[in-house]
Amino acid sequence: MDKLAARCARKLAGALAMHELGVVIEIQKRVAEAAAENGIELRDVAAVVVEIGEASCVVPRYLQNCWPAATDGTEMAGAELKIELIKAEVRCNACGRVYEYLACGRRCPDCGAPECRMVRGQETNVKEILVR
Amino acid sequence: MNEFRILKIKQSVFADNDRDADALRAELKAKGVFLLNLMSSPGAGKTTALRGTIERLRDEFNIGVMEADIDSDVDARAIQQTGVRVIQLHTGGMCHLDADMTRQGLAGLGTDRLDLAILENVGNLVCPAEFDTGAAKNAMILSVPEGDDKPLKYPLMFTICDVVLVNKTDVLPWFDFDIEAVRARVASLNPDAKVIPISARTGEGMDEWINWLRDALVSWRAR
Repeated sequence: MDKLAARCARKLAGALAMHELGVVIEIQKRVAEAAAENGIELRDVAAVVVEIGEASCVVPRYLQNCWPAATDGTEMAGAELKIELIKAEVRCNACGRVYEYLACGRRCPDCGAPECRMVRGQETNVKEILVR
Repeated sequence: MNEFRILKIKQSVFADNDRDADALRAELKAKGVFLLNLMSSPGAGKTTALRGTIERLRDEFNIGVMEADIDSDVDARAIQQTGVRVIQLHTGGMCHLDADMTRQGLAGLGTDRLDLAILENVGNLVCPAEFDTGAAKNAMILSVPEGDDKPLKYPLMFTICDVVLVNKTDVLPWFDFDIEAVRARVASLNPDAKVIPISARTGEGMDEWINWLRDALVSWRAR
């Protein structure tokens, strides 16, 4: 893993210490594991679908940029990365309404209270893989 | 799309690392080694606070330090002067340490007769929060010049921490920094987190921090 990380870092010269690189490497590990468990060859993986929450610490664009560098030269070189964005939704502590956090200006559209709990939007999941 | 078979995975990207971290935590528990993961942004005073911590605890506990950086060994050299075991880890471009890298670091450091292992994570408030290192406790340092709004900007970091050290309190008179606002913001994210104002330079508040750390280590061992 250190070698892989170093190789990716060299390819991404100028973008050192990129958070999304670590995430991409974790995605590759999850996919390799799932493929092995299901008797799937990695080179038959056509696409990897991930779910990224709007309130996760991952920037989809950077994730997409890291993907070719991380997969180049591996069995997954031909696989595409598809990102599905999940809207950040919260539940109002005061009235219980679930609303879209950013679109509503970080306040409950019903009662105006700012206090809330996250319901969804922090995900970084490998959702599925498409196999040829 | 009919030509493709779909394999549902639906697992967190971090599931693998979370498993590694839990396994490492259990191994360290069996060995009696308390691992503290120390995080902050660059320049918050991790190394200075760490030196102060080592000086106050080295007669009580056998301490080992892992210094994680993208490159360089300046921090390891600074810690070496305290006389404790230290190892420099290079992440090779990665912005954080994961459980597997932590395990390799501990193997390099050697855990025999070690009571307290401290991991000085890469200076960064984003990624280290997402990767569980297998530590018994997570500590972070927020320094006064960074501003009291950091819990609002980096909520995940403050959510996973057991203790937040507000460092550089000696410069408070020159900054618009509201410690009570930090306490309230941390409490709303993580009611169990302890906030301790310190100045690693003058030593102010260090006793409270040392007591917290000693208690955490002793109660973790007794569990």
